[in-house]
Amino acid sequence: MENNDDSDRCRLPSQSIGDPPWLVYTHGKSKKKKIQTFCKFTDSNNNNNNNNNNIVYIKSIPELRGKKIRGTFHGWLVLRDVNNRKMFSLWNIARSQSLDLPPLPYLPTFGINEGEIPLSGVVLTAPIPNTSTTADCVLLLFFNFQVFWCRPRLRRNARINWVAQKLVFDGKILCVAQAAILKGVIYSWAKVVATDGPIRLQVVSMRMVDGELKVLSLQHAPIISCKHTCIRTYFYVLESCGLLYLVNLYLPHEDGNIISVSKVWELDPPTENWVEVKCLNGRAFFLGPCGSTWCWGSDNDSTVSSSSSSVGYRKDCLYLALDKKRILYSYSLAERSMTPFQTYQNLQTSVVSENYWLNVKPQHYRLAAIQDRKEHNRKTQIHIIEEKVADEGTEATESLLISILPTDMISLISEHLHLFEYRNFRASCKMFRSLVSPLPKRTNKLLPVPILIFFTTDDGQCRMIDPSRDDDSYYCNHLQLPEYPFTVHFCKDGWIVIHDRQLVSLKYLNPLTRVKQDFPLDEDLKISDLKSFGFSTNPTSPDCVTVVFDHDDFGLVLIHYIQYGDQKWKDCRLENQVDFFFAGYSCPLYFAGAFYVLGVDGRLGEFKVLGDGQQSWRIYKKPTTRIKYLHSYHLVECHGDLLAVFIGHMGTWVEVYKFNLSKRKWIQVKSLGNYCLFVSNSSSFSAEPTEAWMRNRIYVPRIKGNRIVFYSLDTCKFHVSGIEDDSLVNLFGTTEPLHCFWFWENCA
Amino acid sequence: MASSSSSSLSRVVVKSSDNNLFVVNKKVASQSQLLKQCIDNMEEKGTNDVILIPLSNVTSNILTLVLEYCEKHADFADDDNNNQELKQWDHEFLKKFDYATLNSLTMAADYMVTKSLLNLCCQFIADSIKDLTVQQIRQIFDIKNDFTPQEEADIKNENAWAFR
Repeated sequence: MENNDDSDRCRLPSQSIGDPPWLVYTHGKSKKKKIQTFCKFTDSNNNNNNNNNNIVYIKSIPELRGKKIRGTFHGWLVLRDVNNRKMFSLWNIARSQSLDLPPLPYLPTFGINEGEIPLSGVVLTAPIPNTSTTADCVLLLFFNFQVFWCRPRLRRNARINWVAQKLVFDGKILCVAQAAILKGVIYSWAKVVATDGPIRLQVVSMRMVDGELKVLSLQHAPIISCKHTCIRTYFYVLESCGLLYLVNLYLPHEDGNIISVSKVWELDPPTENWVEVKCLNGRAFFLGPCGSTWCWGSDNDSTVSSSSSSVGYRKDCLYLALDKKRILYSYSLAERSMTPFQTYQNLQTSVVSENYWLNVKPQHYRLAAIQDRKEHNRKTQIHIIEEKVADEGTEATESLLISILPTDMISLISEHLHLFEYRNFRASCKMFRSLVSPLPKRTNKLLPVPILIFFTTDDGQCRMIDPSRDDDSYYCNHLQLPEYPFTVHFCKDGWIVIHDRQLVSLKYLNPLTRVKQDFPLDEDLKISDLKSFGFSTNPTSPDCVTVVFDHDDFGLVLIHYIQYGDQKWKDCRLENQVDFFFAGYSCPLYFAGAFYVLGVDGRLGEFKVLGDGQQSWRIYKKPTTRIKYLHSYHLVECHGDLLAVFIGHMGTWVEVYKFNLSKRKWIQVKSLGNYCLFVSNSSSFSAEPTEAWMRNRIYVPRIKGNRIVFYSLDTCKFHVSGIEDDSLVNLFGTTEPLHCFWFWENCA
Repeated sequence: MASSSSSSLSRVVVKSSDNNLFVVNKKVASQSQLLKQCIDNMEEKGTNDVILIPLSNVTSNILTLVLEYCEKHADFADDDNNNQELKQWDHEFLKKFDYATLNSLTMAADYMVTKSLLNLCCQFIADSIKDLTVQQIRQIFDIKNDFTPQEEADIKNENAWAFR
């Protein structure tokens, strides 16, 4: 929906109390007269084309001409002049009232003849008063460690003076970024530079005391430790409902979409400690380059969010708008999943000069909180009623009277059960339990194809989706978990490799048979840096070789490997200054006596363990030069062939190649015949499904609703399982569970 | 009803538990290992008379269904291409029955050693408890929960996948 009415073009789009913030893009060729695009979009599982329900207004607001928005506080916009960068002004949106501030005394630089220090943060501590009686209102501009502050007044002829100050605390220089204010105290992430020590990231709290900005405390920042080193991290601080929050996100790739971790901490007021929170109590947080804000989110239930009264942003989600990018990332704290969206494809120009979240009206949190509680109660009541109806319904169902079947028939039925029901079947009565073995036989039809398993919490709940059941039901399983959070690195033939993030242990185990074994650990093997994992065969077999691709040092491919039964890892350091091969994040494949791994650029590495502690390493060309901007890349063995699947940026293209081992050549594959592939970074499988409709498909570890997304080589498009008639243009709008893997115990 | 459409092959007569006679041609009958074994035994003895096989455990209602299945599968026995069509037919075939019939059919398939029908029935029953909870499975199978709370807790623990 677009609104281009000329008279309306100069006015801000309306926003009622409780509405979500606008995502505003500033763009246009003219330096002074920019165009603002106001977007509001719907993060719903229902609509297939994710731009359908978006609301877009294109405006050119006179008050914003030649100005850049640097922050929004108490209904006031803090604006900076584009041409004269010393000039700042304030604009009240509701009253359409402007206040020009005197120019800054100077623009801070990094040194003489050095570059200008960019504006890193802005705070307006209180609404601007008409008189000078209240002295609470201070506007602070942070240029790293250099602060300018003034007391803005609306009274005519009021003298406003800038005061310059350097932020130094305990002999350390504090470089302050985005800040938030709570009860007169300013909180921010700060880079702390000590004269004789490393730069640390800490949380700083500050307050205006006696005409001076005083640092109250420096706290250790609760940041995520992360296994990838070449990642971009994002830090945000925001105030919501009278509480303060810190957010830390990690993006591993420049244009990739994998946010490996994302955490939120709440400041516990009495103890002044930062406590990690796993849900936002129904709120959605909006994080952006020019400040962060929030609103009450809608329910995950897609039917609710499609109603007109809903806000379109899901509760307990973080919405991240990156500087000058048109992709909006939605991270669900409840599901630990990541969904990228294209906010607005048809921006008139490709260059976006800035983007920010704009809350014109404040979020009335107290009122909203009460409403939310009421809503919650109503839902629980309905839920209870529904349960009763369901109970009556099941009582009425006809029983199978299986108990009169001969006992051997019951064990025969159990051989036809799917894994999801097998254990429930055993748990139904003593007779069934005695007849059905606790460990399913290998001939059982437990898993016709691999299932996608993903962890939504660290406390043992996981969801399992079987792509061969083409409905949107999923199976929740309770797991026995290690005491500490863990990561699944690899899965092959029912064996998984997990790494316990606290104890720093590394083990392989079979979750069904409960057989497990620790890998030896030594100093060279830094678990936090491991990239990918692979076995040659069943890990309990004496022939088994396990390889680990370590994080590459520049100009060095680093591989660790261990033979079954050995107590120590062997290292293989491969000089790489000519080839610059960087092993990718998808797991290596053992094929015809060698481990193969794809590089980030699409080249193929071949690693062989020869006798007498010797190894061999070769690199093969990538299939075509067209392969670049990869979203993901996977190796999989299919019907005796070595296949490589390349998926382009956000699924804009997909190509499959077969590597001919004797000729060392790639051949493009246009059809998988009766096979289908299941690809992910930690495990990839091929299967010959009994269901004909599953053939010639590549299942990817992404979901929409509770349905799996796949690429069909018949239609050359992405589809959502169960709603095959519709196709997806790309992978925007589909969700990636961040802790997921394909699990399969291949009976073949 | 099983008919004697192709008269060139030798035929057998099958007697149900309620004493109804069914004339079945040899190709159809050999879908059941039990009937096939009987025919082979008699042929070894060199008998050319019509064989009568009494099935004391199968009623004529159920036998009709088993023979309908065998006939369809005998038609497709030499044809590999129509696998999908046959599967579709199998599914439609079983969908018609209530649970009691399905039970009798399963037992008849077991007794007559018609492996593909037995597998089909077991798969169908297994599929019918798809997505059901333990409680719902008990209701469907009309069985009582005879576990103590402690036993139930142990089972729950035992059933959980172990990641540690």
